[in-house]
Amino acid sequence: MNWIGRYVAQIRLFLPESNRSDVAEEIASLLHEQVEDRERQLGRKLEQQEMLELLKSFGHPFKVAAAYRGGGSLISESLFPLYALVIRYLVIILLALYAVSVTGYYLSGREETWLQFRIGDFLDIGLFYFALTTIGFHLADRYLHTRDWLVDWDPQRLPAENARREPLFSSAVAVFFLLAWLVILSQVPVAHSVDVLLGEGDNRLYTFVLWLKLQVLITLPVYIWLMFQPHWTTVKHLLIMIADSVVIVGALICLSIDGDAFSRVMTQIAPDFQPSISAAVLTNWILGLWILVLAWDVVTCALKIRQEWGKGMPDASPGN
Amino acid sequence: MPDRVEAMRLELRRGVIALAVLRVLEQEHYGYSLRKLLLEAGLDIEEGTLYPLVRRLESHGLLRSRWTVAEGRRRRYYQLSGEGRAVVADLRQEWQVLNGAIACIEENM
Repeated sequence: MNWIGRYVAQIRLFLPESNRSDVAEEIASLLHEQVEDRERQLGRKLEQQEMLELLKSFGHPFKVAAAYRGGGSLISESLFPLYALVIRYLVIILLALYAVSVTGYYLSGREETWLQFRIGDFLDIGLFYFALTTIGFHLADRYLHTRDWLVDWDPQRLPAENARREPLFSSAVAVFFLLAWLVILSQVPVAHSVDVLLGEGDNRLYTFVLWLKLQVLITLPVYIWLMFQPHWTTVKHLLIMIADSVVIVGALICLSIDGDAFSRVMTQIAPDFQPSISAAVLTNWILGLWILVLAWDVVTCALKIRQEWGKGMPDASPGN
Repeated sequence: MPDRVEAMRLELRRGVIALAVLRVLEQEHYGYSLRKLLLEAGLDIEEGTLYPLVRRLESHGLLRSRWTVAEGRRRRYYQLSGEGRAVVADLRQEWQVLNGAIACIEENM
């Protein structure tokens, strides 16, 4: 029995094609050398058991082939902590989305779907994003020279020790409610057009909903970003200011729209709605209050930015 | 030996073995003669570790190799490349620094 041939053939199976024959030939040659050397020492041919022990000491074919392939990893050690963090937050975000969707289905009375919504879909989506994230990190690791990036860094761009930080729980809750808010806003059957946005549809509700959606779309990434980099920075404050200002502009446009138009629209959406002058006045008050609250938030953000610049730490984020 | 200690031992040996292999291959050798030389020097390295390591060092450009027929058998011979010589010089210096540091620590303990 050609034990060496049999052993090497098994190793070949697991070797990369590029140097399969070359490595296999070398291993066979090394094994023959070893056998001949042993036989010279013993002054006789090796017995079968001795030959098998020699092969066993060389290592399991799979282990030997793996050693020749090199110990490549999907995600490098230096990038792994960030990868683990992203996966952790991905799970939190997906769970939040799942909870919002299930609640949405339940509240909308679509029992037939909410009950089954859908652990299977959730797993599919989860596995899809898990795979996507893993592949993304692997490609970044391989082609974006992340090790250079981890070596060439500036300590000055690290977050200041006393930078204001948003607790993870608070960011996660914000993400959850923003998603829930988006789902609620999406229930309003509004056309996404510039005309509606500028109030030309004579429809306060539709116009305001569009501006609110814009606000969510700006605010949501900020809080997702805060989950990964919990310190507040000038850029993050500015984004919140922009999001608030967007709604202020929307509210002002709505105030310029005839309040009775709102009542007419409400009658279409909810037939029981009783239009009255007071409804128009009420919406004026609500919009006015909304503007005041958001204006206060804009001023607060501006003061925080000023405070940060005053401390000499204008922006702490490595990504900014 | 507990796994953790074994892992540390392997980690410690890994770099030293590479240096030893590069040093021996300042002269041309084939795999089996390399292993015997290291064994004589007191370094018993499993074949499944040594031969792939030699290949990796070659793929990093530190060794060059050639197939040749000697004593009626085809053998692949390895020897340090120009780049490998520079790396060996650096590593030997590093080894001396580490050795000196450990000796110094031992003396002061």
